[in-house]
Parts: sequence; structure tokens; C-alpha cells
Amino acid sequence: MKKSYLVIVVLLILPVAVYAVDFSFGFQAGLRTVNDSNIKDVYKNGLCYFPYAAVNLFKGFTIGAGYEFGYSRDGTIGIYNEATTLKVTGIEAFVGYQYSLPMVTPYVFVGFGSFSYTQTVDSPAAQAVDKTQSTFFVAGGIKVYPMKNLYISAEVKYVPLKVTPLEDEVDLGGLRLMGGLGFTFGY
Amino acid sequence: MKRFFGLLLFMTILGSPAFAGPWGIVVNQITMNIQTIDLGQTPPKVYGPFLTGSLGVPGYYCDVAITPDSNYALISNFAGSKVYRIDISDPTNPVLAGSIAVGSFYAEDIAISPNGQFAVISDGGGSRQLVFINLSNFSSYSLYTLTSSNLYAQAVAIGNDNSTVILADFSNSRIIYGRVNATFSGLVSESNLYAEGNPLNISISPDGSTVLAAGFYNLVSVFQITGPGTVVPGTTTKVTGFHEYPQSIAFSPDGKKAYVVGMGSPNTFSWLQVNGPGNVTMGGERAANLISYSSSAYFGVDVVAISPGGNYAIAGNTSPTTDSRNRVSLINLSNYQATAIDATQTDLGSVATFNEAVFAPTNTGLTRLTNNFIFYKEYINRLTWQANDKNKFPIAKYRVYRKAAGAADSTYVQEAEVAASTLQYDDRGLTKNDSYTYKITSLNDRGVESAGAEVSNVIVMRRGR
Repeated sequence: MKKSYLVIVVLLILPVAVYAVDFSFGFQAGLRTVNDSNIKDVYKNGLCYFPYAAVNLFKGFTIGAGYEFGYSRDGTIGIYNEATTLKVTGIEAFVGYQYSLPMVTPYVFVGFGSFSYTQTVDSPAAQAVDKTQSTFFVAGGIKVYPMKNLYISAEVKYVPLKVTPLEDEVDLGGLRLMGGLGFTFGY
Repeated sequence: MKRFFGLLLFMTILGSPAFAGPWGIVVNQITMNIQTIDLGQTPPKVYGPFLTGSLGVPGYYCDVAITPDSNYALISNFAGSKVYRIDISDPTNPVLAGSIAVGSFYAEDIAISPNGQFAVISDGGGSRQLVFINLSNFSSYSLYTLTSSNLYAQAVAIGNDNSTVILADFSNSRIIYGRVNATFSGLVSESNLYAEGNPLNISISPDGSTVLAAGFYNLVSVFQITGPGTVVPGTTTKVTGFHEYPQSIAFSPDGKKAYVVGMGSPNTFSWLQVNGPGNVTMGGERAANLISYSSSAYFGVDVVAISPGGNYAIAGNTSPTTDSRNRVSLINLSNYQATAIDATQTDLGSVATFNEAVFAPTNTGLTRLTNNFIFYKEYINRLTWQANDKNKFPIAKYRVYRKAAGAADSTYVQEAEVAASTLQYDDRGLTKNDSYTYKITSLNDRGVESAGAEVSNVIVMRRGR
């Protein structure tokens, strides 16, 4: 599934690459919050990482894709305090607009992601939770260029992600507060 | 350190139960007292005599029967016309727990229904009457007169259907049978059949299919129970070839054999092969000579009993004598070697065997718990219980059985076995609509299991997280 999403993203990017002003590659890391109070109690907020690639087209229009990972939290759950792990990853594609000023580029994105989530519980009564759910998300941030092609980014992203793999709906959504580095390469 | 271990060993020895089990009980008929025998010890350890002077008029015939929970022994007293109840939950210290005077009735043979709800007692005086006692309260009795004209009720047995009652009439060479009525006070659909050889005693196989009547004149009559209160002659109607007068008869726990004690000098021990319902043949006549001598035999008095595990039989005497050679016989059923159990009295009579009483746990409870795994919920039935103070010997473990709510008891399946220190069990992984009934039993270190304490009601809803 992940491979097929990557292929789709690459196929989307390649045709428009001919119109590209420049390319960006970056890596972000930061805090990932969770909305659901039960999830928060058991697994807590965690870290997430987001490598991405983007094509910056004419007039600030941008399209890109990335892979979010890193939220893998251990905890104890239920009345027996049994060991458990929750892992969430996502493949994301986004489009946005960035406004280039001298040394600073603010931007906003909207995107669509496919998020995989897996819960394991070390319990004889545990059921398998290993599902995928797609959703839209929004993000905004700023890039600061201390050097010509190198930028430092700060971004806030919100992903709403309500899932019902079995009987109960759980909100796996939350904010990502990330910072990172990136490179821009022009023609 | 060595001192500590030495002290520990000493304390362990002191704290170890001073019994092995199973048990035997013998009624001494002339002195009218009882002795208990720990059959698990080598040699068997004899306790008592107990209750001398408390069990009515001495010197006459009496019978003993054990309730299915091994909590009580019932003892008849012929001349005193009484039935005594003795608490044997601690076989090393039996305690009188009541008696019922049954009028002018000469109480002799006692049979207790397998479910322990009622007892039937025959009249050794040759009347046409029976005494029924509801064992739920052991406070009163019902006198029932046979509707079969000119027949007598001199020995009695009850089938495993807890309904079929069969009587032996020595005088008329008949068996009488019927179903117990709803109030445990008499018989319905009473009928009778010819039983050759003047039956003195009667026994029903553990599966409730085969009836054997020990005929005094050297044969055993065979019958078959085909339904509650319905008896027909066996496919083998009788077993002949005895040379000592059959007086008492008992089946092995698995029902594959039956054992007969015959009156003589000495008394003898024979065995029969049970080939199927109502199909019985001679196995070994006079397989053992017993350690007792007698010249008469009495209606219904049970002088042979098989240990619950089927390894041993014990035999008393067919009539009360003070022959100084008399002792309770311990018969090894693997080789038919009979040995004397020392320190038993010489006026021994009726015997019975039993496992030490084990009582179910008390204060059982069931709490419905919800275990929140966030994406789904697990439902749990938490069973709780308390140790039963009535248990005189240590409990080793508890067993939990489960069946669907409302299902037959035969569908109970063992769910868990926990140590005696654990007084809780969580039945996990249930769905929201699962509804179960549970049965919790106690087991001692010999594996003797109590009846079950049932619990099924959800009393608390509690949400866990």
C-alpha cells in the first residue's frame, strides 16, 4: 500500500516538474500531540519525523509529498496494566502556496494522507488493530534562508484522524509542531 | 541457618495433615459405638471408639450410610427405634448431630439418595413399613406402608436417578420397587418381582442400571432398571455357585464388579463380573477369607464397602458377636488378600467408606468488569469467593467451571484451577452479551472435590480503563 502511494505521488510530481522553478528537499522533526484523552493518558504525546520533497512551481504554487513516522509509543493499558504499543505512520501529499520574501518564505499547505495505525497489547484478550485511514490535513509555516539554498523551517500541521477499527471511535488526530532543515535547488 | 531449617521442618511436620484418606467407618453393634479408619495410612489408622452411650440401645443390629457430601453418617438403631446423624466432617472427631425417633419402627437398613435429598429406612422387625426422612432438615420423618399386600420391606437401595427405590423382602423372596413421590414421603407406582433365594440385601450399580439382590440361599438375583421406578429381570437372572450365605453386596465405583460377603466361619468374600446392564456372572467365589466369624445374618445390614478409589474393600461382620478373632477386614482388590485392621473392636457390624468431606467455597460473587483497550472493550466476569470454614482439612486448590446461562449442568466445562491462596478468578475475553453461570469447587490435596457453589448474577457494573 505504501509503495503504491509513493508511485502515485511520484507520478503526480513528475509531469509538473517540467514547469518547476525549483525543488526542495527537507527533513522536519517535532512534537506530535493526540486529541483523544484515552490515547493521551496511555500513550502520551510523542515525536514525529517528516522527510519530504516538493516542487515549487510558478507564482509560489507548490506540490510535494512526504512520509511521517516516529510516533511509536509504549504504555500500559486497562485494569491489568498490560504492556501496549501504538504506532502511527502516514504517507502524505500536499499542495500549497508560499510567498517568497528576502530570506523568509511563509507558506500554507493542504494535503491528503494515508495513515496506518497499529495497536498491540500483551494480553490474552487482545484483538488485532492494524488499519489504514485516509484524511485531509492543513499546515502552515515559515522558511528562513540563512544561506542561498539552505533554509530552516518551522511548521504547524493539524491532522484530523477519527478511526473506528473495531467498535469504538478514536480520535488519532492532533497537531505536529515541527522544525527542520531543507535545501532548495533551482534550474 | 541450620536451626532455622530444622525449625521449619519441624513446623512443617507439625502442620501436615495427620490423615491420608479415604476413610472407613464401622458400627460396633454390641457396645453401640463407632470407629473411623484412615484407609490411606499403612497400616490403616483406627480412631475411636466414639459416642459410646450416645447411639441408643446396644446389642442389636444397625446400619450406617454416608451422605454424598461426606458430611454426615446416618446410623440406625434397631431396638431403640432411632436414626442418628453424626457429623463426620472431621473423621478423627465425629460429633453427634441429632437423632430422629421413628416410633415403634425397628430401624435397620438405611439408603441415602445419591443427591442427598432423602433417606429411606427399612424395618428389620418384619413390618410392611418404610421410614422416609427429608435430609434437608433432618427433623421429622414420614411413615409409608407398602401397597403390595403381604410383602415386607427388609432391605433398601436407591438408584442414581434419585427416584427409583428398591426393597428386598426376605420372607417372600420378592423385590418391591417404585418411584419416590415429590415430597419424599412414599412410593408411587409400586410393583414387585420374584427374587430367588430369599434376598437379604440389595445394591444398585453406580450407573443405576443393574440391581443385585443377595439371596441368603446361595445365589444373587439380577435385575435391570429400565427407567425411573421400572425394574425388569436381568438378562442373567441370577448368579449361583455360592457356598457361604450371601448377606451383603456392593458395587465397585466403576460398576464393573460387585463384591459379596457371605456368612460363615470365617465369613467369605466373593466377586462378580458385571458384563452390562442386568448381565452379571460369577468372577471369583470365596476369593478371600475374612477376619470375622458369624453364624447368622441380618436384613439389609451393609457389612461390605468399597473405597472410593476402588482399590480396597472393608468388611465387618454379618451379625454382632464378640468372637475375639473378629476384626475389620481390609481386602486388597488387586489380589484379594484380606488383612485385619488392628484396634477395631470385635463386635463390629455395618461398615461404610467415604472420602473426607470437602466443602465448596462460600460468599461467591460475580462482578462484571469492562476493560477499555481504547479501540475496543474486553468484558470480564470477576469471580470472588471465600474459604469455607467447615473444611477441617487443608484445601489445596479451587476449580472454576463454566456453562452458558440456562444450559444443563452436564455442559459445565472446567475453566480454571487456582491455588488455595487465590480467592478470585477473572474470566476474560468475553463479549458484551456473553452470559455464563459458574461453579466453583474446593479440592483437597488428595484431589477430593467438593460440590460446586454456583454464581451467575451480575451484581456490579464497573468500568476499568
